Amino acid sequence: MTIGEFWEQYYRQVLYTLMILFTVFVFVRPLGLPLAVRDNSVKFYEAVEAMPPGSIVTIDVKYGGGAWGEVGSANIAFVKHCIKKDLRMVFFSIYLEGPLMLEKVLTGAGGKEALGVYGVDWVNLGYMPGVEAALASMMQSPDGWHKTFEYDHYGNKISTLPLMEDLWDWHDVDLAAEFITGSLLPTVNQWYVPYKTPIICSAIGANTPETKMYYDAGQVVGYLGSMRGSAEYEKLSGFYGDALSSVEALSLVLCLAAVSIIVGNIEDRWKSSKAGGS
Amino acid sequence: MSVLYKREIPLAIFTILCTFLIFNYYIGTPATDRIQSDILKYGITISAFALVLGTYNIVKIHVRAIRKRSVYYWPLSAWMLATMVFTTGIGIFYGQSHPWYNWIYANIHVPMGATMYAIIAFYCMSAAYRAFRARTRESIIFLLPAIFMLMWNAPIGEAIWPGFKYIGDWINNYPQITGYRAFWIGVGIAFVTLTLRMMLGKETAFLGKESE
Repeated sequence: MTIGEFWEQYYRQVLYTLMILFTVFVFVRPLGLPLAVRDNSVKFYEAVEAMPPGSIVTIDVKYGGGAWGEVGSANIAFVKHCIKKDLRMVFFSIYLEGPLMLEKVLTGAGGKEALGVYGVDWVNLGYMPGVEAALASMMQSPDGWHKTFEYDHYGNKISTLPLMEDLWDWHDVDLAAEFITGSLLPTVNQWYVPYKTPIICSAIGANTPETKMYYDAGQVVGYLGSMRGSAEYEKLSGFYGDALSSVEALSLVLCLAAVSIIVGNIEDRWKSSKAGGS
Repeated sequence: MSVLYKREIPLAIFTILCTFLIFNYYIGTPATDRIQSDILKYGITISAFALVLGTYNIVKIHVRAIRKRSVYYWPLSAWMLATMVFTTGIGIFYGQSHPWYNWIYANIHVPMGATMYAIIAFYCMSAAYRAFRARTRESIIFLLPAIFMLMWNAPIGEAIWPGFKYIGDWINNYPQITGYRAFWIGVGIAFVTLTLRMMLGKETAFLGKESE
């Protein structure tokens, strides 16, 4: 079997092996590749930094297990950043898996104890179905949050939680943080358009172009795009995590993809010219 | 009479509520805002029924597969139902905050979800080699930006050649955003048109009937 025949038959296996080797290699021996921080990530970081202590930040955990690699580490770094800034955190989710992902985030951020006193420094309102209707309901009426969530995720009546005494409608939300798979449109529609609520967002790669559209229009203050954005935020905030260690693997694998496209095309041209010549 | 119940009354409810919500957006008062808030609450409650419907549907399909043994994967259907009943049971009887429930999610569901998602990268890699071929002028127009965007997204790209950053930024800021905006404006206009057609009774698929 010639090299050409071997390649023709086993190119998939070769490419997959290279992918795995590249990924494992940089975890075993980090290369220290440069990571330039983009403007949108700086704005995300600055939005949190600009919050005075005691501000209320709502955190929508709108992703599942598949997006953990891209958004999860940014979410952990964000919670640590909020703790450092002494911000009050209100967690909720309009995505079914959200409350369970939040448990992972809280564990990664140092456990529930690290967040302070439950009900005073943070609350977890759990899952609320209805997506856009739910988001609208939280902000619209003068007691929107209390009307939408009567009980928190742990079964406490939210009227008994001191933090919720300061959160009634859109006037009380100082910053809305969205960690998402799927579109940011419902939040922009229901929170930014009517009330100009400042929104920051961490999105998976597939939703990054859409999020950029809202960022360019001034509807989103800052955003983190995919794993690279998460790594940039970890670098800015100083809360190093999985994204920074994974981003080198991402670099190498994306380079491999670009080289594969070029090699595939050269091979294609070569075969066509050979067929034309004979 | 059945047409009245099945079509006219639901259509009237839909049209009145839509008209109210649209007008309230522009000329709402605290009193009408409260009514709107109640309507939204009904919407949230109704959408929760989608979960019940989804559960019923998945149980029905897999129970049928097990009974008839019509498909080769019927043991997987049985396994799926067993795990569903087990997880749901823990959630119902011990609550979603119970360590078992979270353990199942964090140590079974999340790794499997991440694995499924990661497998896409392998498909993309072989597609990059096999399918992205510059055989026509149009395909070159798609292919070149794809290479630049790959290198723009790779943090190492800028270190290899600073031009990747500038070209990637340009693609991201102009053609990409222009296309996205055009798409979403189109979606918005279509949404308004569809809602108007529904309010006027021209679009009745949501009532369980074909459109006129």
